[in-house]
Amino acid sequence: MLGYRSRSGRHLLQLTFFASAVAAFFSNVVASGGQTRSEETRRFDLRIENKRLVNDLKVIWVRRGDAVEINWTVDRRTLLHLHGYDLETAVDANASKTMSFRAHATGRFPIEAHGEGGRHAVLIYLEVHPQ
Amino acid sequence: MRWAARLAAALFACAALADEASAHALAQRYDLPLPLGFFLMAAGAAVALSFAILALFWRHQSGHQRPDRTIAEGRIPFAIIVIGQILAVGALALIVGAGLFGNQNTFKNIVPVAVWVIWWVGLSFVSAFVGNLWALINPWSAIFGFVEWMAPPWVNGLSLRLAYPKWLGAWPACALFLLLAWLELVAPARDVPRNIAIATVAYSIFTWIGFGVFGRDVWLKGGEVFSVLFGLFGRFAPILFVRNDGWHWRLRFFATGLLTLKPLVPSLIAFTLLMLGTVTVDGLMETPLWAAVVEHLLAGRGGIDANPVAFILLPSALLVVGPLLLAGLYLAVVATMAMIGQVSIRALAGMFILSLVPIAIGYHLAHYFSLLAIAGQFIIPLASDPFGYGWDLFATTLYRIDIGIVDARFIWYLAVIAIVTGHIVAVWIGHVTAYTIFRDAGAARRSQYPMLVLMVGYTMLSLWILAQPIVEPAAK
Repeated sequence: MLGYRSRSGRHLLQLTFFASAVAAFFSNVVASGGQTRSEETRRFDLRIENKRLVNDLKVIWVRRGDAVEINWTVDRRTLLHLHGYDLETAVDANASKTMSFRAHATGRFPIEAHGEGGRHAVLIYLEVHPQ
Repeated sequence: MRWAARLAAALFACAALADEASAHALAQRYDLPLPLGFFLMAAGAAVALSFAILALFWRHQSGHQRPDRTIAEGRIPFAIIVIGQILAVGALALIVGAGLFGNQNTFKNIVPVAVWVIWWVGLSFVSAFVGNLWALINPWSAIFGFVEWMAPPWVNGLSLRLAYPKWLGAWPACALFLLLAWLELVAPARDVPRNIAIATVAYSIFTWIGFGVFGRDVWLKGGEVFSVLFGLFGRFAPILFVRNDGWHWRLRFFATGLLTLKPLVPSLIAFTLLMLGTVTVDGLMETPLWAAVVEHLLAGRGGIDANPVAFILLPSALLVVGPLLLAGLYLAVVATMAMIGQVSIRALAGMFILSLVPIAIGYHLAHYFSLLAIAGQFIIPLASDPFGYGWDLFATTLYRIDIGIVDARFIWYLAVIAIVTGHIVAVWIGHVTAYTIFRDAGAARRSQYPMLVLMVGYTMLSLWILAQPIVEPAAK
């Protein structure tokens, strides 16, 4: 008759412990790479023309805790929305406006331009990395 | 061609209707890609542990104690079942009511978050890590059971109890699952409360017709897609719920429910492959690679804005091709195993398919945990104002979502641990299953080499997806 093997369960447990130990070891190695650093103010100047970002940037990269200031300049009235942080800034045509906030939460957050008609295209992503 | 034109027109209309909703899709995730260090660590551990398991286990061939034995068991009080079912029926009524008559803004109506986050993602986790709760509280089953119980004795049940064709198996559930996956991942306006409510009403009627024609228990096994799906996840869980003169619970070791002595029927193999394939396709659709493919294919035609129908058809095609590709790979692996062990492909396919489920569960946890933790919080303010009418029933409408509730580093650790653990369990299930089928230890061991290649490949693909930044194709 079909039979299961007796020591499989125990060995699985041993392996799980082994895997956990390996993971814990490596995670410490990985974690130690990210030394705690002082929080900074990060400023970015971004310009939108024809619903697209002129700057050759796809991602803004900051650390958790940083103060972030994004200065937007647009060629037509645009409503900018930073998802997750849920910040909205309306910028008039040929004008500038700054979006300021502290990056308190880690993650990758899209910034979209909510213009008139059409899809709401992602302009750029904000990546907030852990310290 | 008329039907094609109609379909195109309908999809175009949906795309236009979806504009506002998709821009603020509820299921938007904010995960950072898995860093290279974590990726290498997980990949290395998966490969190393695969060989460690082979080296450790292959000598141990005899024994009498089944790993899937029951540790403890008991009866679930009838009152708890009734309370659970009343709550589930109430939730179903609330979803239909709020969807049809409530505010249609995605974030002001309880329906999208309740259905796509709490129920779909949350209940999958409960099914996998606690037990298949859905079997106890399924509101369609509860309502049908209640009406049948209320019916006068001369009616003799509400079901015609026509003979269910054996060949039909779980194929209705497969078709419904594919439709559901399309609704979840591709359909425009999937976050619009009224659409979800209409789909819920349609599915309710369809399910009750299934119960009425073939009998409730028969349809729950072959046609009620959520019973089949949560049942599959529930095989991994430590608690098994069994209906046998009332409901009982049985405690067992994790994942031992995936050890089967009887091969799954082809329709259930297909369902499992469909589930595994769509979980992977879901992640794949958010990678820069897929975005680049979409943009490349549509570039010559004026971009995404000019091709709303193609923009829907492309991921729809991926949703079909992805699981088919996985099925092809799986059957190729099984065919190789069959040659090694002189066992039929069909029996092997039915026995080994469940060994892939832990990898999918590990990936599912890694992929969806932050969504549940962050988007799931919307349920707190929405519970006070489920219809979006401006109520404040529990004084929670001012609750602000905390997007920092889970740190990226925590998610990375969780992803690595979940994926590697899922892989280890998968290899172990494959190992135990091999020794169940092959009497010859050498054949059992050799049979696992092709399976191991598939498992390592599937795990690597899952890790690779998690290491990709989440993007969406850019409109021109």
